[in-house]
Amino acid sequence: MRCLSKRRPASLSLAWGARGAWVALALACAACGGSDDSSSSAPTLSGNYELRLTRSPSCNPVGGTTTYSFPMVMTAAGTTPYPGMQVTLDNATPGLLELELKYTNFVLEGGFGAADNIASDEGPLVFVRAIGTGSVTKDSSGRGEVLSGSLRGLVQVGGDQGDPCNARDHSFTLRPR
Amino acid sequence: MSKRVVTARRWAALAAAAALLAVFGSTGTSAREPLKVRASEAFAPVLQPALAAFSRDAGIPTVLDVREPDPPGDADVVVGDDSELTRVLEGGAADLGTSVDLGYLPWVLVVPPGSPADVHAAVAGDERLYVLGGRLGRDARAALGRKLPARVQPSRDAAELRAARYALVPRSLAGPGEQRDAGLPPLVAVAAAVSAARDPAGARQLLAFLTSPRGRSLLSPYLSPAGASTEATATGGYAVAVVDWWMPQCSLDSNWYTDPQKVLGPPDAVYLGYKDGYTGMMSLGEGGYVTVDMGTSVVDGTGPDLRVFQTTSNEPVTVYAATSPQGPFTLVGLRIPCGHRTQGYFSNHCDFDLHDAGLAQARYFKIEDGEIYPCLLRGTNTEGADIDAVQALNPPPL
Repeated sequence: MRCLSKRRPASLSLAWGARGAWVALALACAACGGSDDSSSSAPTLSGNYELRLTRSPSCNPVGGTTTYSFPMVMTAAGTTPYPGMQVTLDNATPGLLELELKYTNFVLEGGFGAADNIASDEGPLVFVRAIGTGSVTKDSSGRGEVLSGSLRGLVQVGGDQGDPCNARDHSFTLRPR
Repeated sequence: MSKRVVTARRWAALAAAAALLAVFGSTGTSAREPLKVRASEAFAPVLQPALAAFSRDAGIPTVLDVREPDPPGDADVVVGDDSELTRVLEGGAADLGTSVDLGYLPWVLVVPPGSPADVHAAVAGDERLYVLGGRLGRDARAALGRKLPARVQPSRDAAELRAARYALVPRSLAGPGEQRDAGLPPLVAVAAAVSAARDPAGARQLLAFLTSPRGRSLLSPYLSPAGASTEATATGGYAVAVVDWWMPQCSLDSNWYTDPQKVLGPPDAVYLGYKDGYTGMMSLGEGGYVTVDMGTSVVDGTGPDLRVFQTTSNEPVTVYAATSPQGPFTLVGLRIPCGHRTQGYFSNHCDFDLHDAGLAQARYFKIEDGEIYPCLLRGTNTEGADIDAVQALNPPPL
């Protein structure tokens, strides 16, 4: 259960009735167990992350693995019509691997687009054009992370002559590094 | 950490070095610079007889450069599948106003005569199934997925593909074996003049020849007529309201056509005749979407139930459906190429069937970009699938 009062800016003045409602919500949230600063604030989404893509079980394994990792950097990107996050490959040409994600209700959702085949940390080249969805949780340092995201679309491994796989059940994680 | 990038250009350069063909007609001794035509492996055999005839008839020598048409390099004319020319046309490297459909090029499965019907059984023993490599082959392999046997050998060598006992190739690259329907959508041969062509008049002359009765006759051994477009005469209504939309800030910053209201009503997108000049559509950007209310439920009837009109080439589209505007939305079709020609309209289209999602009906449809091209590359002002209209094909009976 998420506590709505945790997201309320403290500086806003409230009518007494509304304030009473917030007090009630705060009391209810005490039952959530959140009391210290790190757990009472929204997770922070920015900085260095590791993206791990895992291909669908229906895809052929390539290079002895089905999971491929990339160092990424996340920044906030826009507020209209919804807040967004931009996640790009660290220390690389902008757009080589680019995630453009909507961020609402602690869910990241949007496009995973590669411009070319990208060498993964595991070695195999990966090309992706897919839509990902994942709930954001908070790690021990207060940073946001996606521990179990779903990914639907094309994930090709092995370069231009490699194995393309268009599937609805790829998966991903996005964790601070 | 350094990231090694392997690009298709390496393959392209190898192919070009090996396969640059000169096609001169009887007036090849003319001092006129040859007209340069660039086409990928699948279309080179299609074009060769027509280019030779054009050179003879028009007195304009031609050179066929066999490599991917994107980027067009120093070519005067580019020829390729819809998907190969999307960015060339959208970005203005080739002139959209000159683009013409030359016809459909089917995929075929080549097997020795008398092979079993099932492809797994047909590719027996240690035999390999050779498949065209590159972008076109990738799409074909992705579409067939597990239907393909494990021993697949991608290749961009036309001679190797023709010599293969088992091959999945466009008809133009098929060898002497038995040709069977591959169960894949055909390639759509599109030609256009390059915007920076050295010989724009010659380029237009060639395009006119290729679309003339004589030109089409010379292309016909491989290409089926391009006139097999679908009439937009389905009975249902069009989207009546936008209930939600989103696109990345990066796309909002760079795209010119971001008004979601443009997807409502009948298809009305048009090309205004200059680079990036359109009206009547919404470019979704990288992974963006627009959710529409059809005004009434669309039911799962015979055949497809929903049509999406998409303006540029065959940029893919993903569709989800729901019975309420808040969802839950169920995936109906994932990254479906949206390039079927529509008679009487500028926009192309693609169809979706609620049956594929296990839904009996739905009223709200989320139309999502399936191209998912990285926004930061800022290649064009129309990134993402370009949505013109959404039409119900099976409204509920009165």
